[in-house]
Amino acid sequence: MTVALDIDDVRVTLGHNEVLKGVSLSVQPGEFVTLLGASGSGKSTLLNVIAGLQKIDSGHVLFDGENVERRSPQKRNVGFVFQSYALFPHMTVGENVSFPLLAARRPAKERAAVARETLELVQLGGMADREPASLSGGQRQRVALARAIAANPRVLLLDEPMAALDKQLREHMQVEIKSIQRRVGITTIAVTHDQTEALTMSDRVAIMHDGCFVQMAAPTELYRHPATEYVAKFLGEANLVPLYDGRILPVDGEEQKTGTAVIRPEDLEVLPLDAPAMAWSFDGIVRVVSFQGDRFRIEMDTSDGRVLVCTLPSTADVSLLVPGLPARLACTDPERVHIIFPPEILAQPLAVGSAV
Amino acid sequence: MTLRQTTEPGATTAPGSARARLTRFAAALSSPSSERRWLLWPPLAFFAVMLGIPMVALVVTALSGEGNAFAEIFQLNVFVSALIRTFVLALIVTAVTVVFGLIYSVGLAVAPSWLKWILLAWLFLSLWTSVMVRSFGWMLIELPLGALHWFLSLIGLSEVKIELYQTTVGMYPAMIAVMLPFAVLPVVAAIESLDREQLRAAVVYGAGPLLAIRTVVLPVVRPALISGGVLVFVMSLGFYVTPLLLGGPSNMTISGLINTQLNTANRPDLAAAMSIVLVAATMLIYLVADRLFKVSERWG
Repeated sequence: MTVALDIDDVRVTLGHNEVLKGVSLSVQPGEFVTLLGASGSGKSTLLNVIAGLQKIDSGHVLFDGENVERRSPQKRNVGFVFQSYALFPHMTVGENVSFPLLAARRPAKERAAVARETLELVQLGGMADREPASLSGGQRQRVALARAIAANPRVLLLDEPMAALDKQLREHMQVEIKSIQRRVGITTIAVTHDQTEALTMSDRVAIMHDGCFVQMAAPTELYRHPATEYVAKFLGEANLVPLYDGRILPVDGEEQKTGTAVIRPEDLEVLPLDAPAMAWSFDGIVRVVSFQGDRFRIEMDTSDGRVLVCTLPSTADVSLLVPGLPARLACTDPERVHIIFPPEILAQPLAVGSAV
Repeated sequence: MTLRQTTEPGATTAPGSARARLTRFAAALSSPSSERRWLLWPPLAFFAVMLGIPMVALVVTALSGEGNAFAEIFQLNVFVSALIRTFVLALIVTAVTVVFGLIYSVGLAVAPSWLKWILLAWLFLSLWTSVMVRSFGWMLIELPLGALHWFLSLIGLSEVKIELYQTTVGMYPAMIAVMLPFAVLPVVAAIESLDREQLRAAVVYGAGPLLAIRTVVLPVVRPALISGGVLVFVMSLGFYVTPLLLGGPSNMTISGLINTQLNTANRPDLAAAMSIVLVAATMLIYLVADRLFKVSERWG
C-alpha cells in the first residue's frame, strides 16, 4: 500500500507568518526522507500538511499521483508517530495498536490479530494486555510505531520520534526504526532537529530553513558537498574558509570573495612547521587541545583571525600541539575540500533535488 | 484490627481512595519513625473541635428528649416528605447542573480568549457572592411584580401571570445558578488537561467525532463530571436559604424543617435526630460514590 509522495509548491500561512514558502518534494515509494531543520523552519508544519492536519493556502499533495490535499486526515490513511506518542492512556497496548482498525470498524477478531502481529514486529509480543502507563519510554515509542503501521498506511510520518528518549536508547531506536521501516517498506517522512538522527535513519535528508528547502540529498552527499554555508554549519562541524579569487587570503582589499571552502575538522592534520607550504595549509597558534575519548579536538587561531577546528583520532600523536605555541594544520587531500560558490556565480542557486 | 495491620501490603484499597488515604494518615500518626507527625495534630484538633464536639452534642440532644426521637421523626409525615423532597430536589438540581456545567465548560474551552475571561469572571463572581444575596436576587426576579414581570411588560407581555415565587419550579433556577460553579470548575480543569496530540492522533487514525470523543475526551471529562456531580448533590442536600426564600413553607427541605423544629416547635431532640439522619445519609452517599467512582482521588 506504500506510495510515492509528491509535495508540489505548498504554501502555508499561519497568522501573518508564511511558514511554508512554496516547498516541493518528491519521495520514492519506500524511501525514508528526513526533514531536518531548526525549530521554526516549517518542518513540522510540512508533516502536518501531509497528514492533513494543516490546511494549505496553495499547492498540491499527491499520493501516487493522486491529489489528496482536499481529503480529510481521517481519509488519508497515514501513520503518524507523535512527539509525545499520544497513546490513549485508558486503552490497553493492543487496543492502542489496533485503534486505526477500530476507527475503520473492522471486527474485533481481526483487530486483535493485527495488534498481536504488529506488536511482534516491534518486539513487544505478549504486551497487548498491558496499560501504556506501565511501559518504559522506549516501549511506548514502539507501541506508537506499531499503531502507526498497523493499518498498512500509505505513508508513515514521524514527528521528532526520539525527542522523549534518552541518548543511548535514542541511538538504538534510530537503527531499530530504520530496520522496521525497511522491512515494512513504507514511504516515510521524519522530522527532526537532530542531525545524527537524520543522517542515521534516512535515505535522503532535506534541510529546511525559514520555510524553504535549502538542500536535499543523501546523507553522505549532504555532509561532503553542502550546497550552502548554512548546510555546512548545520550538519556537523565545518571550517568555513572564505576564498578570494580562488585563494585563501585576500591579497588586498580589492579582491572579490569568490566562494567558501568547507573543510571538515577530521580532514585536517598536523604538519611540522618546517614542512613545505601547500595549498590548504594554515599556520596559527594552538588555542585548546582537548581529549574527548574517541578523539582529540584542537582549536587553532589562524594568523588572519579565524578559529580552525581539527579532530584527530585518539591514537594520534599530539605532542606537536601545545597551547600558545605555533602549529600548522593542513588538508593534504584537495579532494576533501568542498567549495561553495556564492549564488550569483551559480546558474542554479539551490541544489534542490540533487542526485541521490 | 490495629491500624498497623491495615497498612500491610496487599490491602485491597486503591492507593488514592478515601479509605487508603485515611489509613495512611492513621499510620503516619502511629508510626514512631515519622518525625513530622506533629503536623497531623492541628487538623485533627480542628476536626475534633469543629466536627467531633458538635456531633457528640447532637447525639446527646437527640437522646435527651422524652421519647425515642429517631423513631418519632420517621413517624412524622412532614419529615419523611421533606426528606424525600430534599433528595428529589438534590437529584434534579444535580442532573441539571451537571448538564449545564458540561455545556458551560465546553463553551469555555472553545470560546475566544476575551469571551473565556468574561465567562470565567461571571463564574467566579457568582462563586464569591453570598448565597443569601444571590437568592434574594432571584426572589426579586420571581416576585409577581418582580424583574421578570417588568421585563415581560417591556416586550408587551404584561398580561402573562408569573407564578414562580414560592413554587417548586421557582426554586430550581436559583439553586442551579448557585451550584453551577461547582460543576463547571472540575470539568474546565479536565478539559484544559486534554492532550491535544491525542485528539490529533484519533483524527489521523480515522476516528470520526464520536469515536474521538469516546476515546479521548470522555475518559478525561467523565471523572470530573462525576466528582462535580457528587459535590453538587451533597451540597444540595443541605440547601436551606434558597428553598426558604423561593420555595416557601410548602416546599420545606430538611434543613428548613430542622430549623422549625428547633425554633418554632421547640423540639431540639427532634431537630438533632433529623440532623443526624441527614448527615448519616450524606456520608453514606459520599462513601458509595467514592467506592463507585473514586471521587476522593479527583479532589485529592
